[in-house]
Amino acid sequence: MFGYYNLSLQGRSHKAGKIPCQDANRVMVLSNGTIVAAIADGLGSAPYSDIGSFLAVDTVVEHMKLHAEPVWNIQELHSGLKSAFTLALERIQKKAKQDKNPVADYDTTLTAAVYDGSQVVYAHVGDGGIITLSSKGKLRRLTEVQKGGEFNSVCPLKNVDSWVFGQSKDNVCAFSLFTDGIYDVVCPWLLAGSDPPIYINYVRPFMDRNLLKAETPEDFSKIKKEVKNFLESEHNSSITDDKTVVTIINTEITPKLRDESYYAEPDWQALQQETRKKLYTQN
Amino acid sequence: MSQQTTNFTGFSPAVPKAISERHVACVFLLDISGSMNMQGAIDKLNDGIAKFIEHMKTEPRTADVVDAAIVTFGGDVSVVQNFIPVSEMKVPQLLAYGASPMGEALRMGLDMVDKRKEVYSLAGTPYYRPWIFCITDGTPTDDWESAAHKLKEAENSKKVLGYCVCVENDPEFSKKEVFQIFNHSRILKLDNLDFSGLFEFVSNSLAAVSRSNPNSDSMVNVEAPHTLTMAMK
Repeated sequence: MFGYYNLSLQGRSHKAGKIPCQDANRVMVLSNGTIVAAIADGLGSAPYSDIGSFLAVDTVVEHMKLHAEPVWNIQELHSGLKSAFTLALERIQKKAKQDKNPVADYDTTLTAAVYDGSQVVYAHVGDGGIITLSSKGKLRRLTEVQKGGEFNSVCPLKNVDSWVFGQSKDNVCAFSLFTDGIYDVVCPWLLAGSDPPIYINYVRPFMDRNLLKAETPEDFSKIKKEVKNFLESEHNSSITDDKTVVTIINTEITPKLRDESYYAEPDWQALQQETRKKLYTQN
Repeated sequence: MSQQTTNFTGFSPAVPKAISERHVACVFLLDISGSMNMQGAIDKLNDGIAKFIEHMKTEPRTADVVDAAIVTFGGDVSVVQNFIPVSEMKVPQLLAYGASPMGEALRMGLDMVDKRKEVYSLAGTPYYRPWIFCITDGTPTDDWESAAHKLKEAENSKKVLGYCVCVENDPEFSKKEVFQIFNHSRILKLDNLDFSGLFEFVSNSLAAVSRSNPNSDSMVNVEAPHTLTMAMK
């Protein structure tokens, strides 16, 4: 029933600076028939954030594997994800102590989701996010971006008060988790006032089975390569950050197509003009 | 095995311009006091600004997201130009006269940065840490201590980055005050009145910032001309 692809790519700025990819991801189908995914984006300002992000996703997925309950219970899943986040933080703290480094050197965001084929239950901290596609063909932003007050700071995992837990309300047939480099294009600030605030034409091919007709694990392997090529192509040359995408699809459902207007390209010129007015007429 | 895979072909050739780019604001605090007439420094400064605009415009994406403002201090303090994308910037013709009220100019620059950040926030526009970029050939002639304190506070809370370039055209230029105002690691010395080299460096640096990882604290690494070096006390 589930198909998925997952990839973390080193960004251009990190390639140039010979800095490792600081993103990490992990996906696992659990014994109870559900699937768990986690993505993490190590902060650029933290020298060992690649270790932090790896420990974070690894801990969450392993914890959810050990505590896979036979019955789908949202409260139990929130509780499990909270424990998983706590353990991830503790593991990072332990590693920092072992290496005699400040915990901040391992700072990372963390977003995790558990899916049963129709509902997504998530835990989230940071500036990545989750986009869901319902069986009715509607895209939704499941998580809010957490930016710091200066717009150039991020809430890392160690900000326990910033952890949020929630679940989807629609019947979800596919969803993607993105770290901020891609997520800033998926939900660009120019569309912040739109409903949904999502660049639909950009995000659909990642998860909409009307465009992405994948059935078998081989298909998903092939898709993974194509997504990699796409993310490394000129299309995305403006994204210099590391890039992570995890997409999970219920291959038994093809979402309904919506009215054509839903897929219309935004009028970027008009949106830019409107923003320019806001940015420069107040001088 | 199914042959059907992804379909990314419906895309425009690239993600549309500037839909998610962060802006970077830079206030130039330019000393146009009387001493800038020495050795034709003011003319070279004007030429340097022209070069900056020309150079920035060769990278349209960057020129659209770098918002520059110019504040001059010479006799009095003037906002020659409020924030505008460099793509729309016009070359000012600056004349040198009077004393060097750098303290007041710095206070004004910091206020402008605060207001700019409010505008960015209201418009929902993400931004990099703004720059204050001061170019001077002399010591401040007004009360600069409170401005220095304000700059330090803003820098400590990562709200702004202050740079100062000391122009070596006045033999009586003591940098004692400059070293009390600006962070020592961001005070530079410009030789041979090479404003063209300086502004090309600034242009490349701002472009590098606009392409950098916003979550990184590391400095952008841009090659400086040989005429621009770290200043010594």
